[in-house]
Amino acid sequence: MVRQLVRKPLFWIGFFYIFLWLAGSFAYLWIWHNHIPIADLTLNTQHRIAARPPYPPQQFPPLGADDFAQSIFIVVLIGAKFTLGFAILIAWLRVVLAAIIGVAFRLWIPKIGRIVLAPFESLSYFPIALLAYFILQWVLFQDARMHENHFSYGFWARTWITVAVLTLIALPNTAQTLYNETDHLLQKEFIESAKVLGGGRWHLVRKHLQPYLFPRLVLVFVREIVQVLLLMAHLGLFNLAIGGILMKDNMFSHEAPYSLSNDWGGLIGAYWHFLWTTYPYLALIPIVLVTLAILSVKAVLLAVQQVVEQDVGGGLSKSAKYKQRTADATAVGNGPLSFEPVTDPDRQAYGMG
Amino acid sequence: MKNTWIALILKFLVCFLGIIFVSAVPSLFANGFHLNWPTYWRALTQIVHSLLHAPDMVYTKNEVTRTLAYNVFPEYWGYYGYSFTIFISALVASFVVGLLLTYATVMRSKKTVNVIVSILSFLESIPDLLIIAVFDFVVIAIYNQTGVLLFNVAGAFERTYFVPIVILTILPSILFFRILLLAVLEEENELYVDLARAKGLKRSRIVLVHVYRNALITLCTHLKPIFSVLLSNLVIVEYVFNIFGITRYILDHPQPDIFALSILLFFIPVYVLMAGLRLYAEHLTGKKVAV
Repeated sequence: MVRQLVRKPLFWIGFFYIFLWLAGSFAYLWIWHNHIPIADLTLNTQHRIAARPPYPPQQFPPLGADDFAQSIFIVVLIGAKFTLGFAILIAWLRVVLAAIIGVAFRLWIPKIGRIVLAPFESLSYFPIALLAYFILQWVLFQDARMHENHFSYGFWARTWITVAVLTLIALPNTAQTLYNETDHLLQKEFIESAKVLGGGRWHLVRKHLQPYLFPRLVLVFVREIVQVLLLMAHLGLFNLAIGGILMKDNMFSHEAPYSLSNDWGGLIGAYWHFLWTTYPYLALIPIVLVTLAILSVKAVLLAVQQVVEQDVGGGLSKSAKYKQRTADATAVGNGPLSFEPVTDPDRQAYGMG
Repeated sequence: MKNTWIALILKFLVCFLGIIFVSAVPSLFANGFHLNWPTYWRALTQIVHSLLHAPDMVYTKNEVTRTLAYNVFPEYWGYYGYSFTIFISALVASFVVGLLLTYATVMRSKKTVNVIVSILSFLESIPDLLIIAVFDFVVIAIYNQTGVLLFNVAGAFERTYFVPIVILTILPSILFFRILLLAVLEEENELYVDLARAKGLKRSRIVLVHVYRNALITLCTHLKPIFSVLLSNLVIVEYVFNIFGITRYILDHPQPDIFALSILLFFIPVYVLMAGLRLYAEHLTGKKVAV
């Protein structure tokens, strides 16, 4: 799989964008210890203040300065590891936990597992951003608001709480998807033969399910990264960011949101008000960065998808391949993931696809 | 058919209860962590009690010395009706746009179609925030240059329809377009299309009548993700444009029962719509569909 993947240009384009930001961000942490350059006031010949931050890019290159006079480029560089790193981590946790739950439930407790997972399907009727907002808003925002800008939990405690919440909130649906996937694989003929020959459940998982499930897990993993990035952007708009947001006095002695981790999602919320100022394009910087990150992950996703299609699609007819592509079309997460058409009657014994 | 009905009703009940259970979860995290059973139980009973006595539902407001209770209804219907109108209009509009675009594309060559599909898969993952921000940016830039305010970019009490609906329509129509396109391509390889062609039917008739009918089934299985995209976009659009819809109401009155009620009032019509479509698709084609 990896060998085929490295031949895809789409994979490299996406990979490099993410990798460069992450590498740059960590390098800045280790070499310059996250020092943020502060822009000075601009004085004219009479030593009067001619201009003060926020500055547009041409006045304080490369990206300008925000209303705390910080260099925006350095701010987003520092934030990159939080945004991309935690998006990857959360997506990975979601997939690994969901795979364990989905496969174990199907193999060891199929009836109970189905009943346990069923009510969680209601999660797909919630606007997830709103649900996550209600769960996180006290620990990441309200807490400091009510206690003179002092959080009851430390920075990393808050961060891990956020990671846990963002993981758990999508876990049941991903687990359901992988439960269905396992269920579908178990209908295959070679599973029947393996069972007849005396293969136990562990043997089935390791020798027969794993080679089919692994490529799908990679696919789900990359897809979840997109979902997490989107969710982080939405939460950022509600002033919730990894590590939390404080309300601080800015250069104009106005209270403004100040992100503690500078993660891009939080910056979207913190910079949104620039839309109404002299330099409205400053508000677009974090949004464009998140968009580019999502598009690069999407490029990787397409490359992975092509490889998976070649791998398992080799023996499929042309029409079955189209069916596979349609099944993968909704990148929203809980679309059906199967090798066969989703209209397969044996898949919906209980009416849940 | 009978089995389908039972499965649909069972699933409805399970989801209904699931929504009530999940809506009580945020109360564990309100004003500090109270991860204990009594808090959850209190929120749960409050939701059930409020839903059973819906007409007398109240929201409470802490004044300096006392706690005041106000009736939720009929004020609530104004907020809900507005949001739901936008939601449904965007859904219908994006479906129609998706259908038209698919029809326009299917007639092109296979190669063009494949290129379009790959472009679409990139376009659909553009965040709604970018669309909204660029829209705001352009409107403001035009206002700064010419003094003409094309659209009101912050709504409040004045309930505008055009701008939110257009913005909400963009992403779902790309999704609809791509899914329909792939579904149609998938059907194109079926034997009945060859038969219809051999009988001398016009290509437009084959696509419009026969292929679309079968593509409906594929669409059914992908409706739920489209709904969730639309729903989360609705929240963001309402929040950004500061329009007085359901999101504002929920945020202003963060009570578990109001949250549960709002989610249920979106879930029920959406579920009925999906179930209806599913029954219709089964009736049309005789195939079984998983919802």
